[in-house]
Amino acid sequence: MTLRAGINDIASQLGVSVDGQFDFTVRASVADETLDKLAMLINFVIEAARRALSELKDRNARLAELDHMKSVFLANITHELRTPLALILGPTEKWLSSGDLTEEQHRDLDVVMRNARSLLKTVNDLLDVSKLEAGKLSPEYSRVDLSKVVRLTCSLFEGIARERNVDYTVRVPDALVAEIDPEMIQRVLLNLLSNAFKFGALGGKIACVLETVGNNALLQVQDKGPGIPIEMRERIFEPFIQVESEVTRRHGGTGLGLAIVKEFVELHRGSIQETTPVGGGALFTVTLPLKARTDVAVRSALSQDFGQTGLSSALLEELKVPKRRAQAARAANMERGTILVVEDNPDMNQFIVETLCDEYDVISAFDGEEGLEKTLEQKPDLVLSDIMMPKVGGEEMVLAIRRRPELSGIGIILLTAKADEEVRVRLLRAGAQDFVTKPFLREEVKARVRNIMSGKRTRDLLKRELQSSQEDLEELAQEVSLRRHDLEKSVEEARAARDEVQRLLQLRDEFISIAGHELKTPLTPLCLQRHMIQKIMQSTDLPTDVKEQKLEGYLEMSKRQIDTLTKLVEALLDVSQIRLGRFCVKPETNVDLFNLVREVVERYRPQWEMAHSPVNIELLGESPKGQWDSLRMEQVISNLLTNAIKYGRGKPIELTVSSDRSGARISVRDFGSGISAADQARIFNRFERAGSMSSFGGLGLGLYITRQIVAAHAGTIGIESEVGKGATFTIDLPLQHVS
Amino acid sequence: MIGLIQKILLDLVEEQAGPEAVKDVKRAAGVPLDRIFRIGEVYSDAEWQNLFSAACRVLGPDEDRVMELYADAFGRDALVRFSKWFEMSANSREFLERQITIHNVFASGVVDPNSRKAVVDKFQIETFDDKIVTHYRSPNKLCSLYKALARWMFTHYEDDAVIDETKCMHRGDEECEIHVIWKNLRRSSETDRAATSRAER
Repeated sequence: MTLRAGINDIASQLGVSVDGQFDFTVRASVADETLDKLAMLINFVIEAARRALSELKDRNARLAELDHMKSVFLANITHELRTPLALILGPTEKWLSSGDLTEEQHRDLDVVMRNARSLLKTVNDLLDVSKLEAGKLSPEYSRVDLSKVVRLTCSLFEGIARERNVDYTVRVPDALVAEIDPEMIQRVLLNLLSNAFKFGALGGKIACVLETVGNNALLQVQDKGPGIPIEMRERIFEPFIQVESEVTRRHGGTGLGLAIVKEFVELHRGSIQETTPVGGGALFTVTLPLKARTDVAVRSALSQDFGQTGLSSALLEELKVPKRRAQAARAANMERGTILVVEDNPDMNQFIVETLCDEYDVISAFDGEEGLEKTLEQKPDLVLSDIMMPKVGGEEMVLAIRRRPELSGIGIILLTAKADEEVRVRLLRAGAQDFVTKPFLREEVKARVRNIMSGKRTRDLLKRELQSSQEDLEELAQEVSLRRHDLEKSVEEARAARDEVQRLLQLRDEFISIAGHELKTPLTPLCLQRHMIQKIMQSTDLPTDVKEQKLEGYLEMSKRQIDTLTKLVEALLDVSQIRLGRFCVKPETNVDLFNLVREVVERYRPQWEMAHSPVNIELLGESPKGQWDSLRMEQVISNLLTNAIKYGRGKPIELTVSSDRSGARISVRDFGSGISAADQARIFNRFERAGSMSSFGGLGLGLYITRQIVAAHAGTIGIESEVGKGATFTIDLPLQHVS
Repeated sequence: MIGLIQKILLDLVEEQAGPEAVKDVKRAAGVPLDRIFRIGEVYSDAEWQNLFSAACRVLGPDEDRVMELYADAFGRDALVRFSKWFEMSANSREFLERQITIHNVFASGVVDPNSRKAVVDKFQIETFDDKIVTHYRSPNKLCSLYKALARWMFTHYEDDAVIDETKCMHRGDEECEIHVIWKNLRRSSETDRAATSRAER
């Protein structure tokens, strides 16, 4: 056998699998290792499929078992619920018809009645579903006038149509005999009409049409509501499936209505389908055979009444536009606190309002959108809200509230009928403070609200206190800020003053040191000279003429030292006078400036000659004669000249005097090291000097005194200098003395 | 025992001692000389024991040494015959984690469901961060083959690992419990993926 034949043989063996059975293995009919390997791996895949199928079967069996258990449980529980419900409805109905009730009692019992009926409808739906699933429900056929069934059932909705301003049309033949279970078909129509009114818009159109097509009755219910999305068309007939979102659905219900409709129709061997009519909305078309199967019994019940039943009452009650009763009035006392109740069920809303209005001001909203609007508008202390509501659900509303910082202090309690832990945790994380599970006791709601309100009040109080403290603090901070500014300024000034004081102290210390040194300098030779004079005087060896000659020399030297000392002391005295404001000049008339300059220059000849700094005097024009203190002017020229000698050693000095009608100008120029711009600004201050003390000596008072003398003559003194190129001091003096 | 095991043993005998030795082994084990072992078919466990004993007499007296030779032959054969499984496994750990499934592939040709289940139930594996623990139950008591094959994998993948058999049916335990502990894996799927990604870029 060839390899091809071997593969073909394996393929043939695999053909068995078309039946979905995998309980086989394949074997290579040719002894070939490659074929063996192929067979082995195919067997492995088959084994995997076999195992998966087996697991699936086991799981399905388990699911079927669970489904059966659920159906049995549902049937049992609904039966159990019907008994207490009957015992609620019966006595309540009796009391309501007695006429012995107060208005409030009547209103409360009406709420009980309405909600008990609604509950009964839900229980009945569940019971029907469980029976249908268990295959325990079959039609009880009667020969009836289907037109009458439809007409009477449709008439039940006329009031609702008027209330909602709906264009409601019913078109049925005068009579149409059909073999049906009239209760089931009435139920079918009730559910379809109920849906049409639920989802059809206010002021819209609803039509119900019955006609005969061949051997079938065609029953159509059409509305102009939002319609059914295409993807939901098949699914809406499955139990528990609803078109609207779980948390934002506008209408209540269990999602069983259309499932029951479909089952009831199919039990009649009929069919139902949903289509979108031209112009939008939903169109449900039910096709029912007019004749029952020949093997079933058909009763004659042409006279049967198809009016209002408990079920239709409950359905109609659900459709009524919710009555929003007046909410509890807000008291003026703000200490009570305000609670916003957001609940779409008007009865529940009213019940909660009445539960809380003794202790708080309560306002109502009936969906999440209105709840958010009122929260923004009224800023309540607490929002007590349902989760499943039309338009905007409770969850979305909570998130919207928590997104707004201005609503951050508002407490939130959520009401839920669902034991959905995941939603609870999510909403608690999103900012809800607490939950109340329906059904609840009045006292439970009160206690939970009280807890939150108490916490809120405490927080508000603390917040107010904190705010007040904060305002004080802010004020204080502002004051501190202002003071701080002043303080900083003062500190800055003080710091500058301190620096100045330190600088002056340093200058003073330097000055004391300099003054000591300057005073000591002439004293040392003076002492020596005194000792020498004494020695010469006591000497007996020396001839008298030699003695006199030597004495004369030493006396001359002593005189120079004394002059120096005198000048130093005079400078100190001048400074002292200036500081005390007692410095003054004594102007004389016709002081000849040329003479004055020549005398001073001559007087200092030994010094400038010793310094190798020849002084070139340039006296321009006629000698100015003015009203000056000649001694002080001598002092000025001396100071400038000795400075030039001191700083321009080895280089010539130029001294120029000129005049015009208004005044005279003296300028002294040296070619020394010059003075930097920074030093120029300070050298006229006390104790300042251009060069270092160690290099040039002096008290640092000369220029200071010079400027004071010039100023006292109403003159000015200026300096022009460049480092390395010498300095020129220029004095301008008026000729006339100005006091 | 599936035929692949016997086939590789006889191929090894032929490789080491020549075709005549194969006949001797078959003869000693009571296996017909014309028998060709098919890789996916199941053969008698007792026959395997006889074949292995006979092969040991030909290949050498040291049973452990023969097992090492056999594991080497088995590894080389598998590397050619089932190269995809080696490609799928980046290292010895990944291969040994697949070992149970691979073993089940060999058993999938067993027609009788109970026999098939008996083969499938031979191995159970527990995985930990640094090791796997294999529980082995079989009347063939071939834990030494498992260990020899595991060592061959370490060498093949160049991984650093040790084996500790804490329980052994040869010592009277009801099962063999073999701990394979890795100290270092030369390659991992992640590094392979990263390398592939780099190459693709």
